[in-house]
Amino acid sequence: MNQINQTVNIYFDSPKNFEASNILPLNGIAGLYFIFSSSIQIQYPFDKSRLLYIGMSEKRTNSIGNRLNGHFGGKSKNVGLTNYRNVEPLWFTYINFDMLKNIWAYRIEDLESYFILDFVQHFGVYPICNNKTGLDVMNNDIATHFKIDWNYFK
Amino acid sequence: MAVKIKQLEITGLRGVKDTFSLTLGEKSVLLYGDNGTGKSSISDSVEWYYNDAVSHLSGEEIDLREALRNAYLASEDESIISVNYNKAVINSQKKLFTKKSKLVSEYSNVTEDFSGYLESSKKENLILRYQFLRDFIDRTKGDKLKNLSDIIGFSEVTKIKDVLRKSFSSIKSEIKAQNFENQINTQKQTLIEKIGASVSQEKNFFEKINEIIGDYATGITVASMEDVDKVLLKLKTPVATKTVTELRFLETYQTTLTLLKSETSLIDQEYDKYFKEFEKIAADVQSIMQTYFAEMLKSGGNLISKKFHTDSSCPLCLQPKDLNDLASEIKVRLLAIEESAKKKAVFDNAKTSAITIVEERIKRLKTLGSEVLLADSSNITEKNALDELKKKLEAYHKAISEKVTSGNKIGASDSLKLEDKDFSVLTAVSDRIGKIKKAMATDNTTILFANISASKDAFQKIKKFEAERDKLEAQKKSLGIIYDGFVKKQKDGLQDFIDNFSDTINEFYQYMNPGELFEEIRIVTMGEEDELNGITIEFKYKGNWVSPPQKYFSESHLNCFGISFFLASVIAFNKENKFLLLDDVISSFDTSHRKRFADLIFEKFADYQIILLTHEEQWFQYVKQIAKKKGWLIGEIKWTEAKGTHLDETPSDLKELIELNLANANIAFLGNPIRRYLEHILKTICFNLEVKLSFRYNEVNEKRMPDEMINDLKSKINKASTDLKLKLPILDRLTNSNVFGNLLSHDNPFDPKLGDLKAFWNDILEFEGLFKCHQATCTKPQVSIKNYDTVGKKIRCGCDATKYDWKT
Repeated sequence: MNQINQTVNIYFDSPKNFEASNILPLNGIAGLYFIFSSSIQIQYPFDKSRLLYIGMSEKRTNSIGNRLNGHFGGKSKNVGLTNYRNVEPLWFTYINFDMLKNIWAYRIEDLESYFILDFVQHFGVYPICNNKTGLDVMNNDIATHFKIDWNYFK
Repeated sequence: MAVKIKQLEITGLRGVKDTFSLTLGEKSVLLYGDNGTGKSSISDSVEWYYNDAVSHLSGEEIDLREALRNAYLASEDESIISVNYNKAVINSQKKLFTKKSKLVSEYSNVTEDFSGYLESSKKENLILRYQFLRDFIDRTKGDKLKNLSDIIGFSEVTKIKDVLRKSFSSIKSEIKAQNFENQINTQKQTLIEKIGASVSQEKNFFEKINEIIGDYATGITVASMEDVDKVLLKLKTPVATKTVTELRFLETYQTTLTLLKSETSLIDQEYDKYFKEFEKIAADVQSIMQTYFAEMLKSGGNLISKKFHTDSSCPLCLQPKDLNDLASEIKVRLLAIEESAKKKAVFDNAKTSAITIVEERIKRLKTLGSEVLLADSSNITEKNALDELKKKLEAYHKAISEKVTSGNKIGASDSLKLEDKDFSVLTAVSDRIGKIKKAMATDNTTILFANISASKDAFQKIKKFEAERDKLEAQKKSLGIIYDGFVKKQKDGLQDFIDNFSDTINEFYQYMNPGELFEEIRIVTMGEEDELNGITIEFKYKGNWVSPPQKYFSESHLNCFGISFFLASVIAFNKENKFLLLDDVISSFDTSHRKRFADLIFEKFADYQIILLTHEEQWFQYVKQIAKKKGWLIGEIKWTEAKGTHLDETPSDLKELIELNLANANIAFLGNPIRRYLEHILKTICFNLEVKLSFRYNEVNEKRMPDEMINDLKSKINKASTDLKLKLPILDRLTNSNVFGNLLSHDNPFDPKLGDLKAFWNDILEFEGLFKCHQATCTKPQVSIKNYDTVGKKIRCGCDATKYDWKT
C-alpha cells in the first residue's frame, strides 16, 4: 500500500445533533466518536476547543450507537457530559473504523489512544470529559500517522 | 332538527295482516300486547325499513323477505311500511311486492335527502330488543373493540395508521438494504488511498487537492468542482487517458467486488433469518392456509352470533350441527388462525428484508456489468467472474422468491453463500492494478491525474450516498414523528371517548341499581403501546376492580348493563334521530329494576320520542300512569286471525286520531281509520236495532263491510220507522260519496281531496248522532230496542230524549 509511512489527513463529517434519532442509525458500527459543545469553547492549556470527549466502540456488538446512547441516557455516568448537555445542545461526529482498516493494523483502542494523545499534544491535556490519564504513548514506528483536523472543533 | 315520527303505518308485514297504524304526532307511545300478539312485528318492520335486515331473522335475503311477508297475504298484495316524520322531505314508504315471481322491495322516496338520512340512520342505535341486551357483554374483547371502533370510526383511523407504519417500515428496509455506511466507507478508503485523506466535506476536499497539486504549477486554486475538472484537463495526456481509463475500470471492479465481499455476512444473516421462518412455515403450511379462511369463519361466526342463521346446521354446508358447538369450534379455529397470521407476518418481514438486500446487490453488479471495458477480450476473466457472482445472487433471489405453500424445499445459506473463491479474481485484478501503477510510477503527472480523477469520483459518490441517506433518514424521522403523534392522538381520542362513554353507562346503571355493591362500571382498552387488542368491562366490587361482569352479575344486572350500554350509545352516536324503539326490554328484570328503568326513561330521555313495547301487564299499568301525565299515547296491541296484529282502538281513540289527521291534512293516513270508525258505528247501530244480516261464522262475521250493513239497515228502517225514513238521505249521501266507494275498494287508487274527506266525516258524525243521545246526563246514550217504549211504540235512548217510532 502506498500509505506506508505516510501521513493521512483525518477530516470529520458534518456534525450531528446529539439526539436519539441521530444515534440510532449508528448501531452496529465500531470506531471512534467525538462529542462536542455547540458553542462553549473550553480553554485548554495550549488552545481553545469545543471538544469535550473522545470515545470508542471496540466491537459492533457494543457499537458507537450503544455507547452514545449510554451517554445520552446518562447510563455512562459521565457527569461532565450530562451537565454540558443540560447547559446547551451538544453535537457529535464519528469515524467508522472500517474506513481505516487498510491503513491501521492495530486495535481500535490503540487508535483511540493515538487520537487522545494527539489531542494532548495540540491542546496540552485530555479532552475535558475524558476523565482519564496515563495512556501509553504509541510507538513512533507505526506505519501510518494521522494529521487530525482539530480545527473542526474550534 | 332532530327527526321524530309523526305517523307509522304497517300493512302485510310479519304479524300485521290488515293495517297497523300509529299516529304519533312526534309523541312517545306505550304499547301493551300480550305474548303472541305480534308486538315485534313493529320492531321487525322498522328494522327492515332502516337496515334492510332483521337481526333475528335469516341473513339470506330471500328468506328474510319471505319471513317478512304476512303468511295470509295473497301473492299480489303488497307489504308496506310508511313512515312520516317531522321533516316531510324524508317521508317514505318501503314496499315488498312480487315482481316476475320474485319478492322485491323499494322505497317510494328516491330523493338524496332521504337516501342521506337513511345512510346516517343505519349507523344509529334506534331499536333495542330483549334478546340482544347482552350482545356487547358476550362478545370477545377483540370483537368489543371492533364493535366500538366501527361505530366511532376508529377502524378507518386504524387503517391510516397501518399505512403510515408500512411506509415507515419500507423506508427503514430501504436504508438497511442500501447499507449507506458501508458504501461511504468504501469510497473513503479510496480517498485515503488516492489523496491520503478521509474527506466528506467540500472545503476539506478542495484543501487537500490544492495541497497535492501545489508542486505542479497548474496555476489553478481549487475552490469548486469545476476547478477540479480544470486541473484534470491540464494534467490530461493521451497516454494518461488510456492508462487511467483502464485503471479506473479495474479499480471500480475491485471496489464493487470488495464491497460485495464485505457484505456477504449481511446477506447470509438476512437469508438465515428468512430461511428459519421459511422452514417454520413450510412445516405447518396447513395453518398458514387456514389464514385464508379467517374471513369466512368470521362471517360464519357473525351469522350465528347475530342469529341470522338459527337452524341447527352449519350455515355453509347445511349439515346438521349444534350451533353452540359450532360457535365454539369457530372461536377456537380463529384463535389458532390469529397465531398463524402472526407467524406469517414475521415470515413476510424476513422475506421482504432478504429480497431487498439481494436485489440491491444484483443491481450493483448489473451496473458494473455495463462498463464498456468489460466487453473487451482482455477482461474476459473478470466478466466470467462477475457473471458467476450474479448467478449466485440470483440463486439467493430464486430461493427467497419461492412460494412457501408450494411444498418445494429451499437450500440453507451454506449451499448458497458467497465464498472467498468466488472473489479469487480480485487477486488478478489487484496484480493488474499494481502493474499499471508501476508502469506509471515514473510518470508523476499521470499518477496525479489518476488519483485526482478517482478521488473526485469517490468524493462525489460519498456526497450522493449522503444525500440519499439523509433524504431517507429525514423521511423516516418525519414519518416516525407523524406515526407517534398519530398513535398518541388516536389513543387519547379513543380514551377521551371511552371515559365519557363509561361515565354515561355507569350513570344509567347506577340509576337503575342504587346502593348496590357494583360501583364505577367502566369499559377499558387492552393492549400495549400503539397496538390495542381489545376492550373489557370492569367495575369495583367491594372496593376492588374486577372483571368480567358475567362472573359477578345476575341476569338482571347483566341486562341492566346491556340497557345502559345501549342508552349511552344512543346519546353518544345518534345524531340524526331523536326516537327509540324499545321492544320488551325489561322481561327478565325484577320489579324494582323495572320501575327504575321506567323512571330512567322518563327522566333522562324526556326529549326523545320513545316507542315502548311490553307484554308485562303490571309494569304496563305502572308506566301508564306516568306516561299519561307526561302526554304519552297509550295503546294495546291485539291479534285476530282476520286482522292479524292490530291496534285495539276504541271509537273515541279513532275519532281523536281522525280529527287530528284532518286538522293536519294528513290525507294518506285517513282512509283506514275512517272506514274502521264507520264499521264500528254501523255494527253498534245494527246491533242496537236488531238489524238482521245473513248468517256468517265468527271471524267472517267480524269482516262485515259497511255497504252490506247500510243496505240491511235501510231496509229495516223502511219497514219499521217513519221518523227515521225521513233521515235516510244522510245514509244516501254516505253511500253515494266517492270516498265511500273508494274506502271499500282495494283496487282503485285512493286519492281523495281533503274537502271530500271532511264532508264525508261530517256525514258520518251526523249519521252517528241520529242514534246517540246528546244529553250529557244520559247514562245509556245509544238508541236501542233494549230501551223500547212499548206504550209509545218507540225506540229510544236511556233518558227518553232521543226517540223514533218503531214497528216491531
